[in-house]
Amino acid sequence: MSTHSQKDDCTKVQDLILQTTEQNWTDTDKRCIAEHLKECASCQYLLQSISVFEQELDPETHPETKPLPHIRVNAIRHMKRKKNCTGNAGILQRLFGWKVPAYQAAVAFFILFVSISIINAHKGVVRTEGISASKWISYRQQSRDYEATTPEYADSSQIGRNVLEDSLLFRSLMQSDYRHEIQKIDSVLASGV
Amino acid sequence: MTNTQSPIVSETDETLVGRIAQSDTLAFDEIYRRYSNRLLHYFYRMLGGNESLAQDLLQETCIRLIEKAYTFREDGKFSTWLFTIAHNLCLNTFRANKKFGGSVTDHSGSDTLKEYPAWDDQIDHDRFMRSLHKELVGIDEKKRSVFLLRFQEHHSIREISKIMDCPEGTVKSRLFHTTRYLSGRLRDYKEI
Ligand SMILES: [Zn+2]
Repeated sequence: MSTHSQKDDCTKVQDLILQTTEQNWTDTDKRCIAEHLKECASCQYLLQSISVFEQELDPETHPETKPLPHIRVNAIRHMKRKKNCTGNAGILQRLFGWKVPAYQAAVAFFILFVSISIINAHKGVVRTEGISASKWISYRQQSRDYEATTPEYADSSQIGRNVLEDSLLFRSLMQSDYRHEIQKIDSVLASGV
Repeated sequence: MTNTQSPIVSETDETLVGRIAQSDTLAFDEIYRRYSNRLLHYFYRMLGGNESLAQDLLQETCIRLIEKAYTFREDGKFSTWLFTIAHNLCLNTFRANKKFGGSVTDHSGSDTLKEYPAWDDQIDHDRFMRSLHKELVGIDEKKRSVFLLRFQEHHSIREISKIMDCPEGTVKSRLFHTTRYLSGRLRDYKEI
């Protein structure tokens, strides 16, 4: 019976000394541990070992190595790069996970905008009018050529020429998929001009 | 004039990690001052004294701290959260490099202690640590981690069970056997 009781005490005391440090023991814990240690060499040794381990493993009193200075510098640099990741780039990161600093994203958007403008200017597309003046002139020229090479149109009236120009324009608009322009022409025609 | 100390020193870890999430470099500096040496020693001892790898893992922990600071939940304890990152980095290293993954002759489960001689009052720290490193490399990495988290970092059993994501009973049993085993081996440290 006494052996069983001793074993129970050991389990209880070992639980206490392994789970918490001395500062966290209550007065009852301290009394219980002190009583048990008087009779138990095994638990006494365990407690002594723990105290040696805690003392010898303390990195502040027994440093075995120290952090290299560049680790802190690199981390701070990483943090500053991350801090710059705001604005448009922040949205990109949230939506697609792209980690792009704001100024880089702004430069990329600017280059894209300028490129589109240059391409459009080269094509001669003027969006507000739907069709460029140069294209209009080219259709008019095609109409004149057609008129010159086709005898039955040689003496056609101005209305006839306009109809021909419109039909060439219409075909071009269809090809270019300028549906809103077609609607505009439809409304003009419907108004009886 | 009298108060030259920055108030950041009196901030709790939990407040500082919130500021790190807002990219506050001063808050990071303070956390680094508090934990870098402890983290480095944890890695160093987990990796059997491999210093360059320990420094690399410290660097990686800093980056993860900065990247993941926003995921820290205020009701948790910062040191538990930080050492969870550190423990997982160690596990990844063990998976990649079997050399640090514990020895096949891990005897720490068996209780070899038959008698209880007193520890020497004057411990030769360098010899003790050399022997401890040798013994630590020989035991299972989970037992090694439990041992260091408890006796180097003073985490409670509950905190260690959170860090290692395992039941408290498992932590308690690993800790008990490792402590008994190492104390049995290291009491003769002067002869090793
Ligand atoms: Zn006992």
